[in-house]
Amino acid sequence: MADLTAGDQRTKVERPTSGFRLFVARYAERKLSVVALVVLIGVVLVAYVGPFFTPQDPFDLAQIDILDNMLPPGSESMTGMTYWLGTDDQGRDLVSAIVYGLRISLTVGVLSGFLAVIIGCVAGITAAYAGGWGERVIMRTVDLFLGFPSFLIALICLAVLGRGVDKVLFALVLSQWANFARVIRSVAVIEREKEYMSAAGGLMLPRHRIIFRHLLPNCLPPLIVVATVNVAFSITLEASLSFLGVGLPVTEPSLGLLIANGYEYIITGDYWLSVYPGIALVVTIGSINLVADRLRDILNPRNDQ
Amino acid sequence: MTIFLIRRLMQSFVVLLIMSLVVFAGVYAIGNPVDVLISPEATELQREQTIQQLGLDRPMWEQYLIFLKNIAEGKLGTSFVHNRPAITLILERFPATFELAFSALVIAVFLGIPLGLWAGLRADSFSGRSIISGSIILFSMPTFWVGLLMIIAFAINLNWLPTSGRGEVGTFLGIRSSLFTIDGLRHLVLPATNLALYPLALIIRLTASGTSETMSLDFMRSARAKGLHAPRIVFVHLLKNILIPIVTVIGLQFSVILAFAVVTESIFSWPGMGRLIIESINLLDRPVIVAYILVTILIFMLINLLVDVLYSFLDPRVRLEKM
Repeated sequence: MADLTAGDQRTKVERPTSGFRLFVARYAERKLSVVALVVLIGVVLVAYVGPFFTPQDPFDLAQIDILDNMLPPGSESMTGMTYWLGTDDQGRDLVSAIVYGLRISLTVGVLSGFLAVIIGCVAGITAAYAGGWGERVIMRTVDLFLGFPSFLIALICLAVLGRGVDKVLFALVLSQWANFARVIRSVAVIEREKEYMSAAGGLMLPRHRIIFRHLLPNCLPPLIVVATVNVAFSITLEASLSFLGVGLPVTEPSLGLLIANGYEYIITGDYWLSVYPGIALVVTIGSINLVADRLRDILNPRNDQ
Repeated sequence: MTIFLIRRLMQSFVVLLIMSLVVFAGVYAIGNPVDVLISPEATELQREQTIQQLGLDRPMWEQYLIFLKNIAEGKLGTSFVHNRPAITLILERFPATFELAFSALVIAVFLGIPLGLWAGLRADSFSGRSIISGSIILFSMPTFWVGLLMIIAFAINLNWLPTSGRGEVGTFLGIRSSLFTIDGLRHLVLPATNLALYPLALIIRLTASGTSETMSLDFMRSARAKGLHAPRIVFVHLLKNILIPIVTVIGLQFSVILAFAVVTESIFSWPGMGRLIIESINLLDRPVIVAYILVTILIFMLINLLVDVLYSFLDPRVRLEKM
């Protein structure tokens, strides 16, 4: 985390081109990152537009034929449709199941990441802005959470609460908010001492204006990086928890649950049920990580010269 | 040093108190503790006895005090499923988990540091870049899925290694472990490697970036100018300087490994604490869940304390009294 903030005292050199164009140009400098971004956009499209085009709706029992169960990839169904990635034990087309599962995984990951950012921001900025006693209490709590691996926090949370979408969201947010709070606070503490902040204070601007219009936008770059990495991490966490059977309920089959369903069949050599959802998961997480890596390179002020 | 230790122990104690309060609140928030802590199949007499022992007929604050007292005495209820004290169940499983996590850490360190050094020293070579890309790919692979692939490849297709269980357990110097028998080691290879992958990727990246940063510093140039041999430069001058962050991360990674052991144990049916907790959650064996939470919190706080102490030994610049 230190590298996100350490070089921040340096004043930014204004470049002639507009900020956004420059950003795009710098992002495009590395080919792998562009590929990763294209893949990521593809993944998002598949997840949210794909369900309209899949051969089956895995939730609609009328469309599923139990006689087609456990067919290997490439088999034909009774009605002449091809199951490109095979079917599961209930005769569901794996392609459709993956597309729907991807939507659930992405939604849960992004939503929990977003909520954790908001809570972390509130806690971090309050700590930096309040200082003194309030700061100590908040940061102690943050340290307390950071002392335990996030997987453990989420697991304990779900062990107490039970399965469910809302509970998984809560567990993911609870296990990650402290990360954001720490990053935001460390950035905000540096920003708080800068001249523009005392200028804003000198103009007697209202506090909410100073925080939302002056402080927050300047804390944004490191936050974007941490948020992107954490979405990938949330997706992994949710998949692991659902795989273990303590995460999402069976009615919300995310990629992790699909892999878990296939787990009992791999001993008999029916590998596809676990392998293909896993590939979808790896592609998603990998592309997010690569995009985040490039964002970190660009947004890190140390590399800004 | 002593002052630091005392202060840290006191802090840990406060954290434990807070945690016990949270867990207590959790157990009581879900529902009637009588249903939570007493098996539905218990006889009326057993019910009465447990209610008496846990003091469930007393006021809330008094119940919390009894809860604390029971924790201190190690009485954390009896498992519904196994019908044995929850705490014994967990402590019995701990050696298996520890052995798995320890082996994973050893693999990660002894592969990760040399690979990272190589990648850092030969950053522009094909091998160096492959190591770094490999570690990035490892980062993006969920542990549990890689575990499945390993089972498919090594256990089912190649039939080289067993897929589940701990194997034969040997005794050496009074310690019982799978590390001491051939069969035990064969059972250990796959789960330990699986668990090692994530920390391995982290250690590789950390060592590589530390190496390439340190190699460009002045004291490295003077070491070379003095005509020192390359091995001495790398293993004495370089390693000494990059080891501190690596050791810290290794310490912290050990707790992450312990946590993720839950996943690996479930895939490879390793009879450790992690598998126990997942089974208990699925069977709603709540006394075991409560006991597991308290025991793991205690373990993690001990690890954090150890890491801090170790850190101060390695880096004299860190003054513990100020922490």
